[in-house]
Amino acid sequence: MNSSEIDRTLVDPIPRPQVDRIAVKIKPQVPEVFLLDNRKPNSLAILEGARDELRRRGVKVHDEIFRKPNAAVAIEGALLGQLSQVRGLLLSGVND
Amino acid sequence: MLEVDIETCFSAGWSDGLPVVPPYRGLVDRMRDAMRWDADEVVAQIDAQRLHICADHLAAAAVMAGCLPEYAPVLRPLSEAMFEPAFNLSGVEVTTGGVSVTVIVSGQVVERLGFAHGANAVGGANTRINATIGRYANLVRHLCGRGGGVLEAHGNIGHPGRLSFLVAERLDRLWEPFHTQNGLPAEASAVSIFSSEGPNSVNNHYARTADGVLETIADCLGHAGTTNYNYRTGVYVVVIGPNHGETISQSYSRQDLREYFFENSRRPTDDLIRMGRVVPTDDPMVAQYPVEPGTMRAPVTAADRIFILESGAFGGAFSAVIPGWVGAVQMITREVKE
Repeated sequence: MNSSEIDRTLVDPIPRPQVDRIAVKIKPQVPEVFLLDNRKPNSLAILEGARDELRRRGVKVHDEIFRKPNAAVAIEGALLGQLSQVRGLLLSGVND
Repeated sequence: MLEVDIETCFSAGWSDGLPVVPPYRGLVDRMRDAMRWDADEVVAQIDAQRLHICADHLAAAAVMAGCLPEYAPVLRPLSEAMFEPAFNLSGVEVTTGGVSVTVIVSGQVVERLGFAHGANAVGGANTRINATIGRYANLVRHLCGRGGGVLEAHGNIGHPGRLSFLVAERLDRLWEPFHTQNGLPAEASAVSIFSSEGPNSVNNHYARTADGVLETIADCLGHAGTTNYNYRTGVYVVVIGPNHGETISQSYSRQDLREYFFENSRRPTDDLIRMGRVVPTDDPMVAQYPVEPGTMRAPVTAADRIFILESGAFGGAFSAVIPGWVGAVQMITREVKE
């Protein structure tokens, strides 16, 4: 192939998600923190510590800590529906 | 101008950290044709992320990695294997485990396409086909495993194989080809993938019988820090170097080796608990193989989760253990058809 003759348009190698438009609410509707345990090692212990510390500082924290059934599986079904109803600030992402 | 396009790829995030061959349309079309995909063909999907992987995405990655179109007979089945749901490509990319796509090539295709399988076979053979196909696999992981750019890699330590990790099997084997452990006939050529941590070299120069060599390898396979003690869902590859192979094969078959390593890589569960390596827990991923005080615990659940690969050079007495990642639970093998 003669390198001077090839089409030098760059091809994007990254597939992009095909998603419908979604609405994101940035500001909590109620002043309460909700916690979600992703089941990674030590996640629950860290969240329990965070809950105690937030309460010590006067922040209202929901009693129940939501728990993913399995660290390796995406949240879906009933838990996803439950989380979608949370009107406070939902904190997750605690890693091992 | 070439150097401008290389920098454009860097700034667009189209790189694994090394310069890439710019994915020019002319080169991508040629690669895609060699891989026998149609233009705009959807090759795979990652449903949870609503991603469609098109032929052009993969052909572009192959160009960027430096592959030649002649490698297409391996690249196509390799690509199909990587998008098997059991391989969990996005998990491989983002996990805290910092793991690679690890590629194994076996059968006559090793000779036909000229894969290196002697000196530095497990890494650093400085051979184009090994380096670029291994790079392709990990570039696809990087480009396609992030949900289109919304996810990040969280590997806490990582290892160099995330740039390129391919091992080809020796042709002068002592046992049947690697892929026969995963159901393909001996006369086939194959590409297999699993996700792994970095390889551990195993040195034993003074054992004159198999038992000393095997005990050394089993000790490496079952070291206290191996991730699999917790979830036990990964697979292992034990690379037997040719000097060790000559010693071992005098008294052991390949199946004997798998069973030996399964039986002799165990540690007392109480020791693992004492060290904090495992804990009795209701975590469903651990609970499927419960932590039971007073027992011995192996890092895998069966002998057939340990695969034997013959590779490397004569001259010293080395083998290697490549520990699999717990989130990619199968060795996936595809036939290479030429």
